[in-house]
Amino acid sequence: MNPAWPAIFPLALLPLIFHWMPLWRRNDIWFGVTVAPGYTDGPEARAVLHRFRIAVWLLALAAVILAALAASTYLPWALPVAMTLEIGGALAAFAYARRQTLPRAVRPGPRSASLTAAPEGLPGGIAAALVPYVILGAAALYLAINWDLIPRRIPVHWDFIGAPDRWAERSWQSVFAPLLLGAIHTGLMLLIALGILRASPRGRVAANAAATAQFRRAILQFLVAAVWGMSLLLAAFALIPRSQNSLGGLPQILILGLLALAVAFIWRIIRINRTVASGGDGTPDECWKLGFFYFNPADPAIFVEKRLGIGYTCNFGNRTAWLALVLILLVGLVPVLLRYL
Amino acid sequence: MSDDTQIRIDLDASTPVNRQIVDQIRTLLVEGALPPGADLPSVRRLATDLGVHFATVADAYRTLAEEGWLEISHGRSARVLPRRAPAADREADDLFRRRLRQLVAEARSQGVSAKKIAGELDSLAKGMIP
Repeated sequence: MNPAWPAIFPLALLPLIFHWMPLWRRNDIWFGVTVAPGYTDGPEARAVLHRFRIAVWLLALAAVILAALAASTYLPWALPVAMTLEIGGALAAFAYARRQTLPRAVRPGPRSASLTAAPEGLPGGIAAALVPYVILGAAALYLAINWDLIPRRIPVHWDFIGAPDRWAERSWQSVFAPLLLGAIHTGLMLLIALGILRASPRGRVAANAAATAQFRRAILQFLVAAVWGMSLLLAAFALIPRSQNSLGGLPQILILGLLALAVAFIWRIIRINRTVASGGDGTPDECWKLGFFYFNPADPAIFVEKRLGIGYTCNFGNRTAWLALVLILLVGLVPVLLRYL
Repeated sequence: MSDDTQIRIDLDASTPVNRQIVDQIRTLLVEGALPPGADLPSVRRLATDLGVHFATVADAYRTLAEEGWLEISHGRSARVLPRRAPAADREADDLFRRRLRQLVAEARSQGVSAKKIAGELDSLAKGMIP
């Protein structure tokens, strides 16, 4: 099978996400701009949305045609170009829609903060941080004890349908790599959760403090659940060689479970944003570059709520945020380094 | 969600942000909404919540500490102190009269009756514990 064909699936899925993404927002934010209550239901706002969606679908059509061309003629450059066209084009369309909305921007109201808000913690407390490491540690211990029972040649990569397509000789790198990645992933996710807890605003707009608290809680719960799920999944991958390359479809079940979890949480967060009178987010519009990059050196927050998509984004005007990004980049290089150790 | 200890700042207001923070926290302290022994958020936490520089909040806390309202020490959250109101000197009296005069003039120009102003002042003054 030409490797280009599976890529057509995400290319076809992305426009669906971009189609709905502008609606995953607080009630008084439209294409990254703070607007007056009720503006988003008016004909002008709807026309902006309509034009954005037409652009997204035309770009998607062009990307799929390009990818299909790559599938039939095997052009190695066509797939990256198609993906860049689709994502980059959708972001450009978003930035253009924002420009059309900016004349309707309203100044955000006063910022607020509670002096007696109860301190927040990680959902699940210390267990939230320990359980993933216990799972990964138990798998590592089991593999170390049963080292001689691990086959000399083990699978290290699987294709789209779950069949192994790359193998490696038994070594500590190949056997423990999934567990090491799991430990790093857990650490990073927990650091991000800690960053959200400590270095993001708890709710700058008094009218929507309750919605913001719910939103924060849901995001943190999702992070913890995802960390637990990923630890289980990577432990299962690490145990595959020892189980004669089969765990009765457990990895596939875990992947589906993680996807279901993501969909459920996304749905819940969208509902929090859309059904509660959530208003704006208290960040200045002029600091949102292109509508999705937050750059505000005067704001000590490292993380702020996204205006495109769901969750939190970095304050690129904050030096600590850059340090965090460099750290994530370095951690991303670990799998590459493992090959040379 | 009702929160009696919420402060609000307006970046477009002519009053500096540190002054706005000081005035609002002092009001909560005088009203008794923040009793002695209560911990205030750390400088970092409050600055992040309000989206202002750490130094702005630190300056506000320092001002309140100098007035005897707060105990601040490095690495710990600010704590509300029991405080006995000092005897008002002539300077404080003058400042109060000047500020009140401006405020009353503003209220009168907006149509608020003299009786209403007097009643509000009376109830506010009696309701606050210095």
